[in-house]
Amino acid sequence: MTDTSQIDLGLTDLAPFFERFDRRNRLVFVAAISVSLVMSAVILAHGPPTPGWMPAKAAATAWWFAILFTPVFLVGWYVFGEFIALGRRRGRPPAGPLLTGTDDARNGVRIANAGFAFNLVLMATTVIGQALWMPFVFGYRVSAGEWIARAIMLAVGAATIYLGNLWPRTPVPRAPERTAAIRMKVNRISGWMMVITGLLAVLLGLFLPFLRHLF
Amino acid sequence: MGNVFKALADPTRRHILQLLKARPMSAGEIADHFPTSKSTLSAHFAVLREAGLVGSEKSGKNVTYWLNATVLEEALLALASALDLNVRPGPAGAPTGKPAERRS
Repeated sequence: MTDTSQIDLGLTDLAPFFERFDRRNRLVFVAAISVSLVMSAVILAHGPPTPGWMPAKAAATAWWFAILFTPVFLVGWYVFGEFIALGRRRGRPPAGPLLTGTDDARNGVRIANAGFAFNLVLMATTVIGQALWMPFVFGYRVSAGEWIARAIMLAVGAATIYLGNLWPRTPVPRAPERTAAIRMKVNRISGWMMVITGLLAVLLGLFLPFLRHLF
Repeated sequence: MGNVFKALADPTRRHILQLLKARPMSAGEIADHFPTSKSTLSAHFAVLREAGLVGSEKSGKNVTYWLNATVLEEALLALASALDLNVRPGPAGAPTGKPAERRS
Protein backbone atom coordinates (compact mmCIF):
# COMPACT_ATOMS: atom_id res chain seq x y z
CA MET A 1 0.00 0.00 0.00
CA THR A 2 1.33 3.44 -0.85
CA ASP A 3 0.09 6.80 0.16
CA THR A 4 1.85 9.44 -1.87
CA SER A 5 -0.89 12.08 -1.86
CA GLN A 6 0.83 14.27 0.72
CA ILE A 7 4.43 13.26 0.27
CA ASP A 8 6.90 15.69 -1.19
CA LEU A 9 9.61 13.71 -2.96
CA GLY A 10 11.98 16.67 -3.41
CA LEU A 11 15.34 16.77 -1.70
CA THR A 12 16.65 19.81 0.15
CA ASP A 13 20.32 20.77 0.33
CA LEU A 14 21.04 21.76 3.92
CA ALA A 15 24.76 22.44 3.35
CA PRO A 16 24.36 26.27 2.95
CA PHE A 17 22.17 26.44 6.07
CA PHE A 18 24.70 24.53 8.18
CA GLU A 19 27.57 26.65 6.85
CA ARG A 20 25.77 29.75 8.15
CA PHE A 21 24.87 27.87 11.34
CA ASP A 22 28.53 26.95 12.03
CA ARG A 23 29.64 30.52 11.28
CA ARG A 24 27.07 31.95 13.74
CA ASN A 25 28.17 29.51 16.44
CA ARG A 26 31.83 30.43 15.93
CA LEU A 27 30.97 34.14 16.21
CA VAL A 28 29.11 33.56 19.47
CA PHE A 29 32.05 31.54 20.80
CA VAL A 30 34.63 34.19 19.83
CA ALA A 31 32.53 36.92 21.48
CA ALA A 32 32.00 34.89 24.66
CA ILE A 33 35.61 33.73 25.02
CA SER A 34 36.92 37.27 24.38
CA VAL A 35 34.76 38.78 27.14
CA SER A 36 35.61 35.88 29.45
CA LEU A 37 39.37 36.18 28.90
CA VAL A 38 39.25 39.93 29.59
CA MET A 39 37.43 39.25 32.88
CA SER A 40 39.89 36.47 33.76
CA ALA A 41 42.79 38.87 33.14
CA VAL A 42 41.20 41.53 35.37
CA ILE A 43 40.58 39.00 38.17
CA LEU A 44 44.12 37.62 37.83
CA ALA A 45 45.65 41.10 37.90
CA HIS A 46 43.68 42.03 41.00
CA GLY A 47 44.95 39.08 43.03
CA PRO A 48 43.06 36.89 45.51
CA PRO A 49 40.32 38.67 47.46
CA THR A 50 40.41 38.90 51.24
CA PRO A 51 36.80 39.43 52.25
CA GLY A 52 36.14 39.17 55.93
CA TRP A 53 33.18 36.84 55.51
CA MET A 54 35.18 34.06 53.82
CA PRO A 55 38.33 32.20 54.97
CA ALA A 56 41.45 33.15 52.98
CA LYS A 57 41.95 29.62 51.60
CA ALA A 58 38.35 29.42 50.36
CA ALA A 59 38.68 32.90 48.87
CA ALA A 60 41.83 31.85 46.97
CA THR A 61 40.08 28.71 45.65
CA ALA A 62 37.09 30.80 44.54
CA TRP A 63 39.51 33.23 42.88
CA TRP A 64 41.10 30.48 40.78
CA PHE A 65 37.66 29.14 39.96
CA ALA A 66 36.60 32.63 38.82
CA ILE A 67 39.63 32.85 36.53
CA LEU A 68 39.60 29.38 35.01
CA PHE A 69 36.11 27.88 35.01
CA THR A 70 34.39 30.03 32.38
CA PRO A 71 37.13 30.02 29.69
CA VAL A 72 37.74 26.27 30.14
CA PHE A 73 34.01 25.54 30.02
CA LEU A 74 33.52 27.71 26.91
CA VAL A 75 36.41 26.04 25.07
CA GLY A 76 35.16 22.56 26.08
CA TRP A 77 31.64 23.37 24.95
CA TYR A 78 32.91 24.77 21.65
CA VAL A 79 35.05 21.66 21.01
CA PHE A 80 32.00 19.47 21.76
CA GLY A 81 29.99 21.48 19.20
CA GLU A 82 32.77 21.08 16.63
CA PHE A 83 32.70 17.30 17.15
CA ILE A 84 28.97 17.29 16.41
CA ALA A 85 29.63 19.40 13.29
CA LEU A 86 32.36 16.94 12.22
CA GLY A 87 29.89 14.06 12.51
CA ARG A 88 27.51 15.96 10.26
CA ARG A 89 30.23 16.61 7.66
CA ARG A 90 31.53 13.03 7.70
CA GLY A 91 30.92 11.00 4.56
CA ARG A 92 30.49 13.89 2.17
CA PRO A 93 32.97 16.08 0.28
CA PRO A 94 33.89 19.39 2.03
CA ALA A 95 31.88 21.57 -0.35
CA GLY A 96 29.37 18.89 -1.28
CA PRO A 97 25.62 19.05 -0.78
CA LEU A 98 23.83 17.71 2.31
CA LEU A 99 20.70 16.29 0.72
CA THR A 100 17.75 15.33 2.89
CA GLY A 101 14.05 14.64 2.45
CA THR A 102 11.58 17.43 3.15
CA ASP A 103 10.59 16.19 6.62
CA ASP A 104 14.19 15.63 7.69
CA ALA A 105 15.20 19.05 6.34
CA ARG A 106 12.44 20.79 8.30
CA ASN A 107 13.37 18.91 11.48
CA GLY A 108 17.08 19.45 10.95
CA VAL A 109 16.66 23.21 10.62
CA ARG A 110 14.34 23.48 13.64
CA ILE A 111 16.62 21.45 15.89
CA ALA A 112 19.71 23.33 14.70
CA ASN A 113 18.00 26.66 15.50
CA ALA A 114 16.96 25.35 18.92
CA GLY A 115 20.57 24.19 19.41
CA PHE A 116 21.84 27.65 18.49
CA ALA A 117 19.43 29.26 20.97
CA PHE A 118 20.61 26.80 23.64
CA ASN A 119 24.24 27.55 22.78
CA LEU A 120 23.61 31.29 22.98
CA VAL A 121 21.85 31.04 26.35
CA LEU A 122 24.51 28.74 27.80
CA MET A 123 27.44 30.92 26.68
CA ALA A 124 25.73 34.15 27.75
CA THR A 125 24.77 32.81 31.18
CA THR A 126 28.28 31.38 31.71
CA VAL A 127 29.81 34.78 30.95
CA ILE A 128 27.24 36.52 33.20
CA GLY A 129 28.12 33.98 35.89
CA GLN A 130 31.78 34.95 35.61
CA ALA A 131 30.83 38.63 35.73
CA LEU A 132 29.13 37.92 39.06
CA TRP A 133 32.53 36.99 40.49
CA MET A 134 33.98 40.41 39.72
CA PRO A 135 32.38 42.29 42.65
CA PHE A 136 33.35 39.38 44.90
CA VAL A 137 36.99 39.73 43.86
CA PHE A 138 36.87 43.44 44.62
CA GLY A 139 35.40 42.71 48.05
CA TYR A 140 31.72 43.49 47.41
CA ARG A 141 28.60 41.35 47.70
CA VAL A 142 26.00 41.65 44.94
CA SER A 143 22.62 42.28 46.52
CA ALA A 144 20.82 41.05 43.38
CA GLY A 145 23.11 38.01 43.08
CA GLU A 146 20.45 35.55 44.24
CA TRP A 147 18.00 36.75 41.58
CA ILE A 148 20.65 36.74 38.85
CA ALA A 149 21.57 33.16 39.79
CA ARG A 150 17.88 32.17 39.73
CA ALA A 151 17.40 33.91 36.35
CA ILE A 152 20.41 32.00 34.95
CA MET A 153 18.95 28.68 36.12
CA LEU A 154 15.55 29.55 34.65
CA ALA A 155 17.08 30.58 31.31
CA VAL A 156 19.25 27.46 31.02
CA GLY A 157 16.33 25.28 32.12
CA ALA A 158 13.95 26.82 29.59
CA ALA A 159 16.50 26.48 26.77
CA THR A 160 17.10 22.83 27.74
CA ILE A 161 13.37 22.09 27.73
CA TYR A 162 12.97 23.77 24.33
CA LEU A 163 15.84 21.81 22.76
CA GLY A 164 14.97 18.54 24.51
CA ASN A 165 11.36 18.74 23.38
CA LEU A 166 12.46 18.82 19.73
CA TRP A 167 15.34 16.35 20.15
CA PRO A 168 13.36 13.16 19.29
CA ARG A 169 12.84 14.62 15.81
CA THR A 170 16.57 14.56 15.07
CA PRO A 171 16.93 13.02 11.58
CA VAL A 172 18.59 9.61 11.48
CA PRO A 173 19.58 7.50 8.45
CA ARG A 174 16.63 5.18 7.72
CA ALA A 175 18.84 2.20 6.86
CA PRO A 176 19.71 -0.28 8.16
CA GLU A 177 16.30 -0.55 9.78
CA ARG A 178 17.46 -1.95 13.13
CA THR A 179 20.08 0.78 13.57
CA ALA A 180 17.51 3.43 12.65
CA ALA A 181 15.12 2.08 15.30
CA ILE A 182 17.84 2.13 17.97
CA ARG A 183 18.96 5.65 17.05
CA MET A 184 15.39 6.94 17.16
CA LYS A 185 14.90 5.36 20.59
CA VAL A 186 18.15 6.91 21.84
CA ASN A 187 16.99 10.31 20.56
CA ARG A 188 13.61 9.89 22.26
CA ILE A 189 15.18 8.95 25.60
CA SER A 190 17.72 11.78 25.27
CA GLY A 191 14.89 14.24 24.60
CA TRP A 192 12.98 13.07 27.67
CA MET A 193 16.12 13.33 29.82
CA MET A 194 16.81 16.86 28.57
CA VAL A 195 13.23 17.97 29.25
CA ILE A 196 13.31 16.46 32.76
CA THR A 197 16.71 18.06 33.45
CA GLY A 198 15.40 21.41 32.19
CA LEU A 199 12.32 21.13 34.40
CA LEU A 200 14.54 20.35 37.39
CA ALA A 201 16.70 23.40 36.61
CA VAL A 202 13.59 25.58 36.41
CA LEU A 203 12.23 24.19 39.69
CA LEU A 204 15.59 24.61 41.42
CA GLY A 205 15.88 28.15 40.06
CA LEU A 206 12.47 28.94 41.49
CA PHE A 207 12.64 27.19 44.84
CA LEU A 208 16.26 26.41 45.81
CA PRO A 209 16.57 27.90 49.30
CA PHE A 210 20.36 28.00 49.76
CA LEU A 211 20.91 30.53 46.95
CA ARG A 212 19.61 33.10 49.44
CA HIS A 213 22.55 32.43 51.75
CA LEU A 214 25.20 32.43 49.01
CA PHE A 215 24.71 36.02 47.93
CA MET B 1 -1.58 22.41 18.41
CA GLY B 2 -5.24 21.89 17.44
CA ASN B 3 -4.12 19.48 14.73
CA VAL B 4 -2.20 17.45 17.31
CA PHE B 5 -5.23 17.13 19.59
CA LYS B 6 -7.40 16.20 16.62
CA ALA B 7 -4.87 13.54 15.59
CA LEU B 8 -4.57 12.12 19.10
CA ALA B 9 -8.32 11.98 19.64
CA ASP B 10 -8.69 8.90 17.47
CA PRO B 11 -7.70 5.44 18.82
CA THR B 12 -6.63 4.14 15.39
CA ARG B 13 -4.23 7.03 14.93
CA ARG B 14 -2.90 6.53 18.46
CA HIS B 15 -2.37 2.86 17.65
CA ILE B 16 -0.42 3.83 14.52
CA LEU B 17 1.77 6.11 16.63
CA GLN B 18 2.34 3.35 19.20
CA LEU B 19 3.43 1.02 16.39
CA LEU B 20 5.84 3.63 15.04
CA LYS B 21 7.39 4.06 18.48
CA ALA B 22 9.09 0.70 17.98
CA ARG B 23 10.57 1.39 14.54
CA PRO B 24 9.90 3.09 11.20
CA MET B 25 7.39 1.04 9.19
CA SER B 26 6.10 0.94 5.65
CA ALA B 27 2.47 1.81 4.99
CA GLY B 28 1.81 -1.85 4.15
CA GLU B 29 3.28 -3.09 7.43
CA ILE B 30 1.11 -0.68 9.37
CA ALA B 31 -1.96 -1.67 7.35
CA ASP B 32 -1.44 -5.32 8.38
CA HIS B 33 -2.32 -4.34 11.95
CA PHE B 34 -5.72 -2.91 11.06
CA PRO B 35 -8.89 -4.37 9.58
CA THR B 36 -9.85 -1.00 8.06
CA SER B 37 -9.67 -0.18 4.36
CA LYS B 38 -6.56 1.32 2.82
CA SER B 39 -8.33 4.55 1.97
CA THR B 40 -9.39 4.98 5.61
CA LEU B 41 -5.82 4.40 6.73
CA SER B 42 -4.57 6.89 4.14
CA ALA B 43 -6.90 9.47 5.65
CA HIS B 44 -5.45 8.72 9.08
CA PHE B 45 -1.91 9.10 7.72
CA ALA B 46 -2.90 12.45 6.23
CA VAL B 47 -4.19 13.69 9.60
CA LEU B 48 -1.04 12.47 11.37
CA ARG B 49 1.19 14.10 8.77
CA GLU B 50 -0.74 17.37 8.97
CA ALA B 51 -0.21 17.36 12.74
CA GLY B 52 3.50 16.70 12.21
CA LEU B 53 3.33 13.55 14.35
CA VAL B 54 4.72 11.29 11.63
CA GLY B 55 7.36 11.82 8.99
CA SER B 56 7.44 9.94 5.72
CA GLU B 57 9.82 9.05 2.95
CA LYS B 58 9.16 7.36 -0.36
CA SER B 59 11.63 4.78 -1.60
CA GLY B 60 10.56 2.98 -4.76
CA LYS B 61 6.95 1.91 -4.35
CA ASN B 62 7.08 1.95 -0.57
CA VAL B 63 6.37 4.80 1.76
CA THR B 64 8.13 4.56 5.10
CA TYR B 65 6.62 6.32 8.10
CA TRP B 66 8.36 7.17 11.34
CA LEU B 67 7.33 8.76 14.60
CA ASN B 68 8.01 12.48 14.46
CA ALA B 69 6.55 13.49 17.82
CA THR B 70 8.20 15.90 20.23
CA VAL B 71 8.50 15.00 23.92
CA LEU B 72 5.39 17.05 24.72
CA GLU B 73 3.42 15.35 21.94
CA GLU B 74 4.58 11.94 23.16
CA ALA B 75 3.45 12.83 26.67
CA LEU B 76 0.06 13.88 25.25
CA LEU B 77 -0.10 10.58 23.34
CA ALA B 78 0.57 8.66 26.56
CA LEU B 79 -2.07 10.70 28.37
CA ALA B 80 -4.66 10.25 25.62
CA SER B 81 -3.94 6.51 25.54
CA ALA B 82 -4.19 6.22 29.32
CA LEU B 83 -7.51 8.05 29.33
CA ASP B 84 -8.56 6.10 26.25
CA LEU B 85 -9.88 9.26 24.61
CA ASN B 86 -12.14 8.72 21.65
CA VAL B 87 -13.82 11.60 19.91
CA ARG B 88 -16.58 10.71 17.45
CA PRO B 89 -16.39 12.45 14.07
CA GLY B 90 -19.36 14.64 13.21
CA PRO B 91 -21.32 14.42 9.95
CA ALA B 92 -18.67 16.37 8.04
CA GLY B 93 -15.89 14.24 9.45
CA ALA B 94 -14.91 16.83 12.03
CA PRO B 95 -14.66 15.75 15.67
CA THR B 96 -17.63 16.86 17.77
CA GLY B 97 -15.86 16.77 21.09
CA LYS B 98 -18.33 14.22 22.50
CA PRO B 99 -16.54 11.31 24.11
CA ALA B 100 -17.45 7.87 22.82
CA GLU B 101 -18.02 4.87 25.05
CA ARG B 102 -14.87 3.65 26.68
CA ARG B 103 -13.51 0.40 25.39
CA SER B 104 -13.46 -2.35 28.00
